[in-house]
Amino acid sequence: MTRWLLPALLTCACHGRDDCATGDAVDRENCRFEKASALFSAGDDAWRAQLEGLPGAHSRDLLRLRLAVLDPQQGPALCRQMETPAAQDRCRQVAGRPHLASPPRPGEGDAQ
Amino acid sequence: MNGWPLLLALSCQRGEEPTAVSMAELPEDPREALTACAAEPFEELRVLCRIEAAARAAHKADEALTEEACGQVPEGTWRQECHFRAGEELARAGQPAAGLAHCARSGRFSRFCVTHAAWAIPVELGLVGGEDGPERAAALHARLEPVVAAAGGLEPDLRQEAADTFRMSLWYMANLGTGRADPTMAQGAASEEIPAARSAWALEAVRLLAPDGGPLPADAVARLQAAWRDGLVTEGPPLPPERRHGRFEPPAPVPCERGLPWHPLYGGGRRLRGADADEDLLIAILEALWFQPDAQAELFLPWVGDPRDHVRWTAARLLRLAAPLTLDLAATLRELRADPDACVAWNAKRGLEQRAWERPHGKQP
Repeated sequence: MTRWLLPALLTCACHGRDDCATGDAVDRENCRFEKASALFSAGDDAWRAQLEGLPGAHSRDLLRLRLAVLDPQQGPALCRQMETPAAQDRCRQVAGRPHLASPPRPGEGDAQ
Repeated sequence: MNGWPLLLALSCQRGEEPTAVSMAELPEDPREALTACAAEPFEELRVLCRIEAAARAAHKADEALTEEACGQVPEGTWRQECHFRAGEELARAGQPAAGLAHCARSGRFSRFCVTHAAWAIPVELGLVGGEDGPERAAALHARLEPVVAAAGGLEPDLRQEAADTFRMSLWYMANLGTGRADPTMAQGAASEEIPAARSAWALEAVRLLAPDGGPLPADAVARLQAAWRDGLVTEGPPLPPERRHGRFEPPAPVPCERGLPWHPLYGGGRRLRGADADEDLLIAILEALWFQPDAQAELFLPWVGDPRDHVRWTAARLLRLAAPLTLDLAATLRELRADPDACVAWNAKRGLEQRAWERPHGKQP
């Protein structure tokens, strides 16, 4: 049974978790961010599943941090989920500044 | 079967960890830090990196590098945040006027920036020399002039508040913890600085009534009024700079005080203005009493019946926030809940709801 079960399990375990496998490391992270931020900005909670499926705490933290910069209102919640001390420290620049969560005034939209 | 989870995990590894670059510690030197930011591969982290470099440059009072770093941050929220950090750090570095110029560019954060910058300035900025009180007041005024001028770069509705906040901050540094409460210095202040000068003098004069802590004398208000009237200098042990703090109340939503003229106090606190010099002095003294963590509620009770609205309302607010020595404060507030003055009654009701006197010093809800 293990002859077919093992490859099947390996396929299932990896499939759908991270389909940004091509390119160099930066390209992969950017690909993950583009996918997650599109869902995140659209209010689609599927970005959480994508995040959980990422291999490695550093990748997950990088994505959380980039999303926190994209939407500082979500910063405190994202920063609380940080897994690595370096990311927790970097995230203080967002979560430690509660005024960042205030909405922009009319005419003060973000250019980024 | 037991080795499968490990096998599954290993099978999905793809040689990760490029992000170590992004999370690396920045060099301490601001120029090196800003240079390192350019190598950061991810835009969002470049933004955070450049803001941190700007803050470090500002902390070293390097205005040009601060400007360069903030200029590399995209316009919008994060550029505003960069100017906010720069404003705070330049003030902390003893450059409040330069700090205010950045606050003026911090958009919707400018009011926060002004408050943070004003209270980040080093104590030494308020310590001035001089032969006598008026001469020291003049020296402090000279230090304030460029700061007030820089406040002119803020949005019109924030200019006065910013100037008054910095006046309070510098007068505070010139008085609190110095071991000398000199009413002649405060009386020699420029007219626009007098409310801040009164408040700052009162803070130190009250502290010197009980420099080791504990309850204040029951006649504290009368003593301070007499010292002010007679130009009596009080001296006592100074406080080390790191202990020059006290109890303060963040601007609280007291409905009856909303829209009334006010002066900034320590931190983001504020006090009502008096209609004349005597009334303004009394309000400054009452607030200064409350600043001392051990000030007892009994000190405020007599003033809850004062004929002047702003005195009465100040006293009612502070009464409900202070702890009593022997007074049955709950019973007193229950009586005051039926006071014909709606503001006194509101404060009494709020006091009974929050029972602040049952909490440790300075812990406000």
